[in-house]
Amino acid sequence: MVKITSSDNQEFTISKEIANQSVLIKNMLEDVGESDDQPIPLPNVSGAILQKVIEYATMHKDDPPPAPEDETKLKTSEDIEERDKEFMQLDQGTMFEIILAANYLDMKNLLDLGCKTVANMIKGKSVEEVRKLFNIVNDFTPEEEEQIRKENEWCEDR
Amino acid sequence: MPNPVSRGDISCLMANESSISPILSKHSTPLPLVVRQGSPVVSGTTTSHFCNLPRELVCQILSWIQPRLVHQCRLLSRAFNDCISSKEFIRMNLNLTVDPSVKLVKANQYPSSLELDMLQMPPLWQSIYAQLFMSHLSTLSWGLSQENDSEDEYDSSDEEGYKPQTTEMLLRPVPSIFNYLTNLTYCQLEGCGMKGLFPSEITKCVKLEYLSFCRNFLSGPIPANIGDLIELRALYLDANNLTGSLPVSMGSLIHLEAFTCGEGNSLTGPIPPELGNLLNLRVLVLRENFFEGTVPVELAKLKALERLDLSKNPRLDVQNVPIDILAMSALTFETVLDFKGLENMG
Repeated sequence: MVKITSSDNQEFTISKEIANQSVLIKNMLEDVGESDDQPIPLPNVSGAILQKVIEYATMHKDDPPPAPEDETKLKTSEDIEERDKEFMQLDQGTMFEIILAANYLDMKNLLDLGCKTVANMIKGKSVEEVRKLFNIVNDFTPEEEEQIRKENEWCEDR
Repeated sequence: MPNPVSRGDISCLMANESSISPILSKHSTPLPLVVRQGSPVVSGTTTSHFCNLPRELVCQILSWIQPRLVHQCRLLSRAFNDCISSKEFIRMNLNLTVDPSVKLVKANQYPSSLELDMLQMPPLWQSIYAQLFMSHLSTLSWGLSQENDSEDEYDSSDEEGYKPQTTEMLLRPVPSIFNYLTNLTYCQLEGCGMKGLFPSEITKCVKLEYLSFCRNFLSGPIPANIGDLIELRALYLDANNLTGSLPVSMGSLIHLEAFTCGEGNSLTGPIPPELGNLLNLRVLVLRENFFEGTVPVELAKLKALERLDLSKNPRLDVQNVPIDILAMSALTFETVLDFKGLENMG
């Protein structure tokens, strides 16, 4: 078993196979060796988020090892497992925290899942709708905006 | 302060340059964050926000969105626009959104729908597309307005006065792809509606043996360093809007067997005597231009020449064509100079 502690000093005890899904933790374990009983500090992840991340890792612990990547196959953001879709039913704050955590912990599958989920939230929405959804402030001058619209004309003639 | 750990702000400063690897690589020391012992952490905080994500992660998210759609996201804010306009983003985006099977295409005979899309993208996107997906190509043969692509449709249409679809005839800016097509040996882009300056980057494609840009709307000069294409055996530039003079460096193209730049170009200046070095030249067509001066006697060295057409060059002194050229055995006299053209000049 492996012990990890969150930024807010919550301690979690997880199995090695779950811990190893994080390349960061895996490398740390290899560095310190088996015998070390000290908990691994993860000062960039809060306990609440770590809880979610462990939930994800537990859900995927029995996944077969990833097949060698088929480089000739197109990947799309729509390609998400149903259980992962359910897992990502979160408020925005948590969702972005999980993306940050997955990036920090070096968990490619979770990071991809988070990125795809956000990408899917953007697809099919107007610029105004996306701004509203994510609280993005339009900081362009009208001239700059006009310039970009002009440069973007090729996107529309289809 | 509800949240003592303000990750977003710190990592924003670390906007990563090129790699797709995590912001904090596996061996880096964790950031020295101030952590209040036992401070309560509320699940689902609203402190993390799309705009606070490090640029690298914003790039990763937007990489999943097709180029045409993701360009609309430029309008979201300056930060998004900067991200989407960056080279590293374009590379990530194309890597995820372009069907990777295009990498397996050996010879490209006709632009796929993907490439037709690419031809509409901004220049920087085209150039990175070419770098990622086309640099292995040895053959590029695009004829967007050729009859052969409408032949099947022709049978199915009984309508009288059927004409091949002209939608592909749309004028397109010269694509910014040639910088990276360094394995190209055969390049035929005829009648593609290419409009703009002659792509001087073509001189990077040093393996080229065959190059045809016939029937486009290329303007400006033939690049001065065209002589870098030392493997070139055929160069066809007819029916464009080329100006300027023939580069002297053409004299280095010693494997050249055919060079034509007739019909509708407006090339000026003298015919470079260096063309006399091209001992393998069989076809030389310079008709319908504005070449000046006399026909260089060096052309008489071109013993392989079968066709020489200098007609309809109103400024060229055709009265005094060196006798050596007229005496060249392989040439028929008619092909040397167009008599009609001469008469019209009076």
